[in-house]
Amino acid sequence: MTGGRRHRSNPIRLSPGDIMRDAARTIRSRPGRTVGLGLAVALGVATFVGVLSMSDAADRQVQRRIAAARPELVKLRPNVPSDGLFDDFGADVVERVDGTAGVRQSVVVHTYTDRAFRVRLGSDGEQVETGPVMGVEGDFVEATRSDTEGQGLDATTTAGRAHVAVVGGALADRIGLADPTTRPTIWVEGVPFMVIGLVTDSRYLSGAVDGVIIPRRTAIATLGEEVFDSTAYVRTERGSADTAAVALPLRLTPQAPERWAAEVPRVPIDVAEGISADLRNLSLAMAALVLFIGAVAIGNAMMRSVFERTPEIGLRRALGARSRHVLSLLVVEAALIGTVAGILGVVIGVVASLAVAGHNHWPITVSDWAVAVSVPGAMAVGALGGLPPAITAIRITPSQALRRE
Amino acid sequence: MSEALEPGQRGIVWKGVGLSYPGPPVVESLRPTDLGLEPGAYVAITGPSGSGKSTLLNVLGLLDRSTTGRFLLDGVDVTHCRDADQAELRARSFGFVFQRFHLLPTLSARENVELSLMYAGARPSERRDLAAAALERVGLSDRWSHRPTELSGGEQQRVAIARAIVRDQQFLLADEPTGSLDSRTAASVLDLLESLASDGRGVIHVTHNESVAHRASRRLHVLDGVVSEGDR
Repeated sequence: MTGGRRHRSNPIRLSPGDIMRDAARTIRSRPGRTVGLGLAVALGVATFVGVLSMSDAADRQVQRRIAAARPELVKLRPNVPSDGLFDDFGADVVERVDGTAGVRQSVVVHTYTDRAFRVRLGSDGEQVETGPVMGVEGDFVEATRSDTEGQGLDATTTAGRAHVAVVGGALADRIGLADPTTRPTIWVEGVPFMVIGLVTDSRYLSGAVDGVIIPRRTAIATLGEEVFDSTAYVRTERGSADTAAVALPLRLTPQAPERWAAEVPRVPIDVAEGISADLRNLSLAMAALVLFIGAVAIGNAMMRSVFERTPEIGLRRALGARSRHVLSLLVVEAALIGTVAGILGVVIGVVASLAVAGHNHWPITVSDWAVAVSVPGAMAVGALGGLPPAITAIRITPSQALRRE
Repeated sequence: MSEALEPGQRGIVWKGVGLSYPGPPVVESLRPTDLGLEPGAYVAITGPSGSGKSTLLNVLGLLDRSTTGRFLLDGVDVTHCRDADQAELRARSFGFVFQRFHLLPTLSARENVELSLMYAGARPSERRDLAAAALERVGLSDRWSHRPTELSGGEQQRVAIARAIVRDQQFLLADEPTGSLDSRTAASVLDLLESLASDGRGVIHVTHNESVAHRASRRLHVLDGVVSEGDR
């Protein structure tokens, strides 16, 4: 035997249509396996879309809360108190402050700081030491965001010299004052005041709940005008406090704005935004983990499926299928399952995230980019998951594959 | 055993072809064999279980790769060709029929036959025509749309035979094709194989059954991986 010619191959290329039809037929022919595989991916994608959408919704909620906490208060004090006199601010301070752009309400609070006051309910009540006693002018309730029972002190009430008082809720408990609507009388250092209301809580002037608040002019007339701390509480529109803090000193004394110290109390927005970013990163990590688990699950399921189909693969090889034909069939099958499951997963994820957002009264949010990447991502996960078993399958010789039952 | 076949002629020529698996211990499934098989031969391969009959058939049909010797197919040395080339040669020259039919249960009879043509690169319309002709050749022209589960064992084996001849393959390799059939159905399948051989196609048929083997024009006997010419 002298030998023969070497064989030269004539590569056969299957059309994409053939591969797709063959893969689709195989998928349809094994509904149980297809549903099992698809569910693994669909749940992965649903979790991916759901987690990111819910994270977006939660993030927006955090942002909403941050926006709600944007500064709305300016505390204005004389930089160098003159002599501790009431007229640091001038007589028409409230009118001038209230006319400033962005300002909603204001109140000037003068607090006696030189001595303790004693108070009793009625002429024979137990005498106790009060918290701060304050003479105010302006809309005390709104400017300090105070909750009241009965009547509060507003601009009209505080403009006169009436002997009326609003008592802090804690102090009222101590002196046995329960119902302000009966207009009881309290005695402060022997001076009678008619109680018109209680301050049960105050966001910006927490000391008020243990104190006595009376009109400024009444305070001057009855308790004296020396040694106090004067502060204007100016409540602005949300986010306007910084601007108002600059404008107010100019408004009060255009020739000497440095006379005033304007302070804007802040909530820790930077920290809140940091927490929001951490939340988002955590969600992304969780979503990536879920997707990875999905890829492993589909790979594992495909491995079992390919193992079961080994005789079929052997038959296809015997009929002339090249390794790449088998490879493309298995990968396209897995990618098709991934694609359909991805679409299903997006629907489930969107519905779930809308339901959760609705239930928690969060902003309705669907993560656009999560939806956009999910279907191609699921297709890629399917294809990648199907690749290792497909490679394993084409390494088996046709005769070995045919022998497996 | 190369008989009258020489290199360059159509058919199969083996020179010292064998198959062993590395050990230890080394297992020689097929001892080095010289063999010539011309197209149109009806050859029966006999031997006890585990003797190497199926191994011989697998190496002949390029389902397994020999580890020694030279393999010429139609005068072309295919011993060391790549997997893809082997797949192409396998598809062009050999049709396979198995004891358990190996039909894809989700495809119709015609689609099962067409599958072989898909891997030959035939166009869909061409596949349909050729598959219909092959099914007609095996007597199943009226059963083309049925799935394997809707066909009897004999009909399923005929579909498998149609698949094995649809590309006008030179050799039909049948591994115990009647092993799962009753005697009457088996006889009709054997008649079909005989008629295909008389059409000029090489039919190589592994069987345990002596009476079946006697229908062949040539007989090879395998024992412990050694191939010898058997009695007619």
